[in-house]
Amino acid sequence: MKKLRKLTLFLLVAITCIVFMQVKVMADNGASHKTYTVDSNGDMIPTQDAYIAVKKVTNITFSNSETITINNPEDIYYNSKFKKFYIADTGNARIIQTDATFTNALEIGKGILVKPQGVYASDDELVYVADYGLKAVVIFDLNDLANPTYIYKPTHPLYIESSSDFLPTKIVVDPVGTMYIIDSGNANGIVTITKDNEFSGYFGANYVQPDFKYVVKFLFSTKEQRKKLYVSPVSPINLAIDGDGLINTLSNTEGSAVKKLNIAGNNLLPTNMRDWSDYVDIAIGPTETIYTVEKYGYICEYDREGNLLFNFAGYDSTGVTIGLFRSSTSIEVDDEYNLYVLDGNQIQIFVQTEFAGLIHEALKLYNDGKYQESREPWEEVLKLNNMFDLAHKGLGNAYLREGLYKEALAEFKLAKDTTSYSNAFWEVRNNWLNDYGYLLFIILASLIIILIVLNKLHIFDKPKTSMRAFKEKMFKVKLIKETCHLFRFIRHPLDGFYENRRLEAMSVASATIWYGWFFILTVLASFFTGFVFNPGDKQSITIVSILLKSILPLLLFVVCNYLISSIRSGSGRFKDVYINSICCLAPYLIFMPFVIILSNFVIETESFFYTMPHLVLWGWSFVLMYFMVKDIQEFTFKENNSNILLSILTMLLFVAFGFLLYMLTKQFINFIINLLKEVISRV
Amino acid sequence: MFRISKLRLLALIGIFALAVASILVIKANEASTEDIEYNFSNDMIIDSSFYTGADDTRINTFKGSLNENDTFVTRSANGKLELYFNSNLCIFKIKNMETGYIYSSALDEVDESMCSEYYSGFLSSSFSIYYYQYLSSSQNFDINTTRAWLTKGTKHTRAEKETLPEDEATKVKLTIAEKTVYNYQQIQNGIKVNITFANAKEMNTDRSFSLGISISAYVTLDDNGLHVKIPRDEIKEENEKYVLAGIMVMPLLGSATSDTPGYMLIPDGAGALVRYGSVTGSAVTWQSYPFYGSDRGIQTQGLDEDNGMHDYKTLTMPVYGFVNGVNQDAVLAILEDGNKQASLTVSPSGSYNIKTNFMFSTFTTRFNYYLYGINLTMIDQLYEEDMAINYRFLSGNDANYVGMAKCYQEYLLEHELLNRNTSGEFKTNIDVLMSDAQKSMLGYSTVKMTTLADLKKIVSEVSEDGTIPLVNILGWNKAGYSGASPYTLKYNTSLGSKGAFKRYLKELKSKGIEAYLNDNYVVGYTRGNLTKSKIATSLLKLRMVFKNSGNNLFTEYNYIDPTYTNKLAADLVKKGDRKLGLNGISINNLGNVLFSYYENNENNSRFDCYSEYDNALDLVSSKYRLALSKPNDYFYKYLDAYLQMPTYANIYHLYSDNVPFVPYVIKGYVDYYGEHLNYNSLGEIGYLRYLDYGAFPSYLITKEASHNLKHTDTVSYFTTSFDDWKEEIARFNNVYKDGYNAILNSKVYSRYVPESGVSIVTYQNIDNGSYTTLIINYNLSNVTYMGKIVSAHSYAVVGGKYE
Repeated sequence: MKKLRKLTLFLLVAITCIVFMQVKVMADNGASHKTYTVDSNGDMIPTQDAYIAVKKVTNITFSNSETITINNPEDIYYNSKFKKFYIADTGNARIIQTDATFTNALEIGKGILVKPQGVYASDDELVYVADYGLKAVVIFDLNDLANPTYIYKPTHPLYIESSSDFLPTKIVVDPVGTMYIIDSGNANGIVTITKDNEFSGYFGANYVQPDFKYVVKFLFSTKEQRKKLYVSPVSPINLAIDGDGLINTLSNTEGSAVKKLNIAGNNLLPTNMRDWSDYVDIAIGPTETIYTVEKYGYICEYDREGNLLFNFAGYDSTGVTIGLFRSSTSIEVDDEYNLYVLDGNQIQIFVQTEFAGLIHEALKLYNDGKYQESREPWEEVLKLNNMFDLAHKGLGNAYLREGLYKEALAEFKLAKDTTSYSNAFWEVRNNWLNDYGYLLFIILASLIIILIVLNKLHIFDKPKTSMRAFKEKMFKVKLIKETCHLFRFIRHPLDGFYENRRLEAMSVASATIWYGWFFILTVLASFFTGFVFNPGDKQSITIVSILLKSILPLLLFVVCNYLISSIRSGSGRFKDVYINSICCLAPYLIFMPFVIILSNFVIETESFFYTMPHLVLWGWSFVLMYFMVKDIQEFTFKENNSNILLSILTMLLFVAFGFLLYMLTKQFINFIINLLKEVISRV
Repeated sequence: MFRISKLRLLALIGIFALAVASILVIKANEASTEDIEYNFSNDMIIDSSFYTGADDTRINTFKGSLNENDTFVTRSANGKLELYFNSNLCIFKIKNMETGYIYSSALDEVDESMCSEYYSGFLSSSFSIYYYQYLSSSQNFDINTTRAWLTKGTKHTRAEKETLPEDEATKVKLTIAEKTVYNYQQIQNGIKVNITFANAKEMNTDRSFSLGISISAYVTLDDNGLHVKIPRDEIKEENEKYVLAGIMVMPLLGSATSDTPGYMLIPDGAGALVRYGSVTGSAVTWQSYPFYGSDRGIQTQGLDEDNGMHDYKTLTMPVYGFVNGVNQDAVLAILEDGNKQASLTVSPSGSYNIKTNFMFSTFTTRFNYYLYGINLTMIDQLYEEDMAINYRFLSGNDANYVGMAKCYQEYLLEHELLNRNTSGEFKTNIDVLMSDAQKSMLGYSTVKMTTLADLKKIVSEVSEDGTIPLVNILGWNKAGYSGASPYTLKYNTSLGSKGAFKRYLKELKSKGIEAYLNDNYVVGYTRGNLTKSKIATSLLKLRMVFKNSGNNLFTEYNYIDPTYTNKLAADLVKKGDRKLGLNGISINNLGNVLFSYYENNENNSRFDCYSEYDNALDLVSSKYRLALSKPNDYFYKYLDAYLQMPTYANIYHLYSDNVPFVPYVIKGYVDYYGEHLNYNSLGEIGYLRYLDYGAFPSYLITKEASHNLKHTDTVSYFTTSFDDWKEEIARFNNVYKDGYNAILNSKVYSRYVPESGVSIVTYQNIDNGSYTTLIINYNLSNVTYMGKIVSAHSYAVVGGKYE
């Protein structure tokens, strides 16, 4: 996003001399900006226009038809009961009350206010103003504007102790009359003051999450140094109150910039939300969607669960385009989903399109748990944007409720929602077991009985003999025999190593076949592991990524281990290390295909059946690896331990060196290219 | 026994009742869900500047005036226009004899309250220049241009003011600037002027000196209005320290004050108006637009264009106009020569504190570019082209944007730049995407979106209800749509056999269905057929490689050398028919891109680029049907179909209205199709707009669901599935075909907006001259016009014309 912004800036400088050439043309609906949403991979993808900026309001008219302009306003608030807007006209030290036409305006607090930065209007005709200059909250009664109530710095010991100055910037008031005030620079959280002007504590403070580096630093510091290390948490910079009276806060912290706080002050939104820096304001829409705007005018809308629905608008240094911003300070939304966004001394108005209307409708039904009813709007949404993953999820849930499990599976797969997929899959599997489970049982049971009976009757004797003969015949081919030697490592690994070393039971060629199988197995695992455990896109799988996951690390180990062992006078040859290393992976190589098949029938809650075999197979292989090195190199346990550690260290060094070499080569090539370019352009 | 059967009966009745009730409930639910209204603020949208506001019917009382210095020069043959010349200040005036309105090329009287002393010189100069100045300090030319006016304005001193009569005291003294050499001579039908410019100093006159830059201008009058011609050969630069950068011509011709009823017309996108006095806030500033888009051959490389904004629209016609009193007086300026290196500057009242609204064009005269975006590098060479403007004066019912569109249509017809080439049928453009490329484990693979069999099925299903499709086929080529252009006729056989494809194209032709294969001869990819040597070189002598980092796969694209474009066209003409049975070709970008380039040790201008492209298209259109997307007006003459017609202008705060200017210029002569309706997110009013603008509908279609394109570069094609769009295409045609059928073979006669959200467009049949009127209602309430009730979000066709 930052990159995007930088580019926008650069481009707009040259607004008149750049032609935007794209092979692909999208029709526009009168929007200057594109709209993006986030897909299930977390990538930003284009979507239908969700909001269109229709107007830049530059003038506001009073009831006496005097026309005014606003000066550096910092806040706009909409009261839906009275359908009035309140604008903190900070530069002119007043509050403007106006209707949606921006005529019939009323001036509040002229001569009283100094630097009003936040405004809130309650349903009982009170206008609350957070005045930074006055260091007070001023409450105006709309029926008696001349005599406001002032709320100064709380005298409560808890407040006095923790803060030096009271500098209110933003305010909201809950239905009970408790004021939630952003006190600039006060890191303890939001200041809450009751209706009776009593300080009732702090609310919704952010916490400092110490990272690893910080912890290490802290551990090795003296008491004095530690004092300097304390960092105060980032204070919330803005807030909004939703229909349920929950406070939503906005802080410029990564991942959890937007928080919806319950009464206990706990965040109900996920902490990995898609967000940006430099936020300035937050607003809550009619279906509890959350709107944020950051100072360059990028607007985001999230659903109430914190999924990003739309990202649109943006920066325009010239200020000539409707729908783009020079700098934004506040956002507000009315009952019709019209957005009012402050842009310098102007107000830009956005209206939702039919597409956004559909999504809001679907979300409303979805939020109310009316999944079936939400099916139609979700289907409409998908007609208009087949890549809108949230709609795939919504539609999947609708199908799930209707018992259309197979359809639901397809939708959840598109939405990459493994949990819901598992739920739907459980239903499908359950239905299948109900329908055919008994049959399966009968077939299996009868098969077993038949086999036992046949065995007792010695019917299998002949086939068994011929099988044995066939095996012997096949084993006459040396390569097959050598290749099959790997199976011995399941039951008799130590014998296997011995036979490899002394009797040359396996050749390099046969080992290479298994290395090849290891690679193929990794490819199979990437493509055929069940969706629940492998939801990623198959398109992103490349040969390099498979190599990096399979034989490359193993080969690196082989090389490093051989080098270290030979320095430490191990007796293994390179060939031995090469052959026996792959033999150690025998459990993985033999049993993994079954795990891959199994993964297609297991759901998320049963992931034990997928992860446990993984753990066992790899653990087993590593144990074998340990004994392999010891056996092949004829080390004592102690020698072996240090040998393996050193091998790993060498591997890391190799990787680091390889990376360095790659970077240097790249730099060098770049340098040459730039030099040539310079020469060409100068000559 | 009886008892039991009674019970059974009751139970049966009960079950029946329950069933009926549940069916009813389900039906009711269905009905209610169908009726969900996803309404947005309809009024706010139609009241915005994206639609045309209600007509301004006020009378303009200001008509301009002549004064004692203006001497009569000539009268046009039809007696409708007279030319006057003020030789003291080199100001031309044109009197429209029908209305009495007098237009002035510059102001011969400037009030002190109107602008600063500095700008008074500019406002009263019929000709001004930009020049580059050599700086001895940096041993280079200054990257900023400096302006030189012909005339200079000086405010009266306090003492003078006291002695002067009151009405004289507020006027600025206007004289030809010191050291400027200016002379004129009478020629046939007009005046020839020679000017050698001096620097224009604001306050002190003592440092005036001649720049040695001279131009001559031929100003003549005939039945077609005023002609201003500045020949290239008569430009002289005698001081090597000052070189000419650009010429501004008659900046105040057509200008008006903010209380004048009327507007300025800018052919931005589909067309936009700036009503006098409507501009406020941050829009009060000079804005410049290059005609035909900007020149990427002089830009620093590597510009990333995916900036999150919609594509910028360009001025696809070299015209602009003023309406001073709607249906009273208007003037349309047509840049006849030099228009490929010219720009339009719009100055709403208040910018630079100048209290008048005006627009003027600037001709760039010299090659230059910014090395690394900073260092001005200037090339000694001047462009070879002459510069010429034709001002056409309109009055009465033609004095509005529709009148200007008609006037420009006539101009294009006169000069054979537009031919009548319509099919006389209502058609629907379907762009069918057959395949695209995506990454796979081994390089790239092709995503099949529509096979040949699917394509056949789609075309036949679309035609089922009598709709006539225009089929534009994308991604028919090997390697898929993105990243492979130019395609050079290599067909993707995995979509169906080549023979079958060829036969199908022939079959479409025999059925009379227009079919085009899509290709691109301007933007190429090295993955396609493009080798490095065929990439164009910019004036910076760098290969024209640009970034498109928004793409999943191909993040760099190249401009193709225009000479190679020509060769591709020749190949197409030679082999297209034989190899693919081609009968129509649609070419992206070629219609609206012009750039300077460096080739064979020579700097080539946009004019050269134009002539290469012109040759190419001349050749192609002689053999195949040709469709271009958003072409500039110089290629209208080759068109069989105009694709992707814009229906909006750029979304600038400056504009007060959007109007269908560009569409109306070609209406009746070439069929035009709008942008893909797949992306219409405004519902019915988006559709009505197409009818209002006369644009046929257009869709982007695939057989497979769009989410399959997620990993391609066409990720923005997120709603294309034919299953999703089939019904909508049929519905659109069913609802709107009467409207479109009524206006076939017709050109636009007038368009009125009597109230916000109502457009009344009268068409005149080109063959029989009869009139038909469409009434389009964008409102959510019914309206009544011409005795017809037009319901909400609907339209009506009425015979006759609306006055």
